[in-house]
Amino acid sequence: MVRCVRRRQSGRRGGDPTIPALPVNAGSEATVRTIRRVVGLPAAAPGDMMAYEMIGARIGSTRRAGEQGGGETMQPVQLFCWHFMAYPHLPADFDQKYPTGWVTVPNALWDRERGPGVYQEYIDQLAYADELGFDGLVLNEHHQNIYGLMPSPNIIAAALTQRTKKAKICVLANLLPLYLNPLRVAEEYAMLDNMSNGRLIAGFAVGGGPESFNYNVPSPHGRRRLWEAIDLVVRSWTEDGPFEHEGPCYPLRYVNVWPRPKQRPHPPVWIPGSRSIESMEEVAKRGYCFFLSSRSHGGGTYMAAQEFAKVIEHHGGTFHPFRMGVLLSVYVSETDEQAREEATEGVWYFLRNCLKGHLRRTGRSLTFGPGVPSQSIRSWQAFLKAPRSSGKMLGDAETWPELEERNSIIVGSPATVRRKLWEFIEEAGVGNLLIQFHFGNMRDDLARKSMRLFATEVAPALRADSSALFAKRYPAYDETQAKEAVS
Amino acid sequence: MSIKPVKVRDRTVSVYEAGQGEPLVYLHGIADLHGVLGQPQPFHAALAGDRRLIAPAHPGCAGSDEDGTLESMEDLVFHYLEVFDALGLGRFDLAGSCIGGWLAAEIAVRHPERVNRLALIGATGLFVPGKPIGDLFMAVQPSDGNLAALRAMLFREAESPLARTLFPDDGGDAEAGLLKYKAFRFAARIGFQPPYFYHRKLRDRLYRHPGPALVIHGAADAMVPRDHAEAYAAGLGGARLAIVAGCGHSPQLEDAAATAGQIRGFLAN
Repeated sequence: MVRCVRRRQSGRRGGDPTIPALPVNAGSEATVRTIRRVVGLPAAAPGDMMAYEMIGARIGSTRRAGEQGGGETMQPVQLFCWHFMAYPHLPADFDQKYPTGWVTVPNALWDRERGPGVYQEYIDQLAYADELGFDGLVLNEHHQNIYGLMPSPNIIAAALTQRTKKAKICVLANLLPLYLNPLRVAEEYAMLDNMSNGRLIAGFAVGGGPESFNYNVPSPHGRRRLWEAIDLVVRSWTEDGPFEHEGPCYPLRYVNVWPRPKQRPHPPVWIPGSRSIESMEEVAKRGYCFFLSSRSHGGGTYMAAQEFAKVIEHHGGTFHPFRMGVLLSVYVSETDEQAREEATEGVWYFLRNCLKGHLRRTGRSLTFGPGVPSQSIRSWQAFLKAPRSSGKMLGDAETWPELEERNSIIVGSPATVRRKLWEFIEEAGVGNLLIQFHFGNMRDDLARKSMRLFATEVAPALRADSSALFAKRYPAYDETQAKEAVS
Repeated sequence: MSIKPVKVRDRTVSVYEAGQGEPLVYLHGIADLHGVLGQPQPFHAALAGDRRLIAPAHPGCAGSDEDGTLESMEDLVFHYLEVFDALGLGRFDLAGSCIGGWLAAEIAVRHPERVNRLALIGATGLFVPGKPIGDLFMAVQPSDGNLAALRAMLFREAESPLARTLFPDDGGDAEAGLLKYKAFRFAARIGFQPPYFYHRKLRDRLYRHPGPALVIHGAADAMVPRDHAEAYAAGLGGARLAIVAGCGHSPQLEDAAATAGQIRGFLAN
């Protein structure tokens, strides 16, 4: 694995980046609205995963301007291997028989003979990703569903601390409002940071609609609880204890976390979100990394990055690519045709089964809506007033061209994937790419081949080229800034 | 009639008032004025026939400001004490439907000195073992792109013009969609987490209302089982149970004349 070395730039201007690669005003609400109108799309909706993809598909990458030389190299894109750990043994007629893969999907479907092997296979895949030189491994928390079998991602993370050597272990995320006491998360993350010798990236999230149903989290209270809990956890890592936390959600008399994390001042904090300005504000204020949790085409991610950059600047900070991460889905094989053929079974298992009840119109969608009203009244009003699109979501996709047009899933030969991802990087300017390689019931050998081809034939070029690109765009970037995200 | 804003501390409460006479406070539910309906219905007009009807919108519903700190029935009762004070209401008759019925009962057992007659329509609020209140929040999430489950929970005839008008599959226009979202967001604040639309201790406290009380139950209520209405009638002082035939959870809309007639007869005694 090649790690490019960051260098301080001779021409850096301290805190005065006079040539920001992301013009602050270009990402304004008005601009986004205008673009959406021009391309015939509604304003972004809470949970509107397809919107960005569709925008991206219709906007060229020609609008980038203002790039200027000056740098040599900078930290390249950070390439993470993301795993959902889907349940792969559903009956073939699952979609016909069951209305959802979430919350109420009968656990009688769990195969007690083959079930245990699933975890071993997935952990082995992530250990392989470490061997292949991925910069990080990403885990996530879901409950009572077939989409992701990690109700406690920290247990998988603990296993990975013993199976991996170099990769960051990014837990994206622990769903804080689901815990009675956030100190449990502070403690487990601190353990993981020590057990991994400082490789933890600590993600915190509020949880989606399904988690609200599963864990009785009233959606209107979730965000308030989340941010109090995050601040409490970070304070418990950075401030000497014991101290008293005065609530209101989690009043605690004795906060005194043992162990303390290895990383100083604390492990990097990542917060997933869609495009909620309120969430971006909270992330920006605290200097954390914002993770865009929808699979977005370059153009859509670019616009989200613009918005986030604007929010950061408003709070006196400076945007750089590593303040943000994005989820992508990739399958690589020897040729384009072979890639589609090999990925078909796993990808459609993922779309039809795993996304049923989440990002599909068929079945009961529990992700967002009046039953799990986490969006503010103002946000919901904006969503309702926007003109309606077809309402198609990721899981409604019927064909490969449909998926590929939106870059929802990037499949192909190493050359194809390299080209598409490079276009994405140039367009979006986001530094942390969190990539899903395993889909639904995909065979182990196929997932591994895809990861290997990516690591050997796609990643090196992306790293080299992005290093130069970022250096040109961010002449003022230095290590101090990087510390806030991935270091 | 009028819908006017009333200031309670720093928040606006939207209050519908109509009619003359002794005050009757009405606390709304979901399929109701201030819930998914922006305007009063024949039921509300009928109640105002011989009383001064006062119907405030719950915090965050219709024209009332949201209260970001509202997270329990206790908070809501306290809010209403302030509303009653702001309106200059001393002792009054109190009615409520669905979640508003639960609220009315909670106010009555805490402040029997303020509540004279108590009328409940399809009231949630009680825990009855083995007879859970339906999951309104699951039902409002579209299934295969339609809201049939929600309509079936709130009305006897799920596909009646009334049910389909109030809860169309496409969510209706932006105004209707927003009213609905606000009503459910309010409901989620106090009814989403356990206890689900109930207070486990309320049943043992019902005796605190000395009566009289009227408990109205739609014969085909698919959200609140009849056992709950019976438990209310058994627990409240001087209570009578009235089953409204041909109705589900929303008798105030499904048979406004019969339901309003029951309440007017009750209040006249």
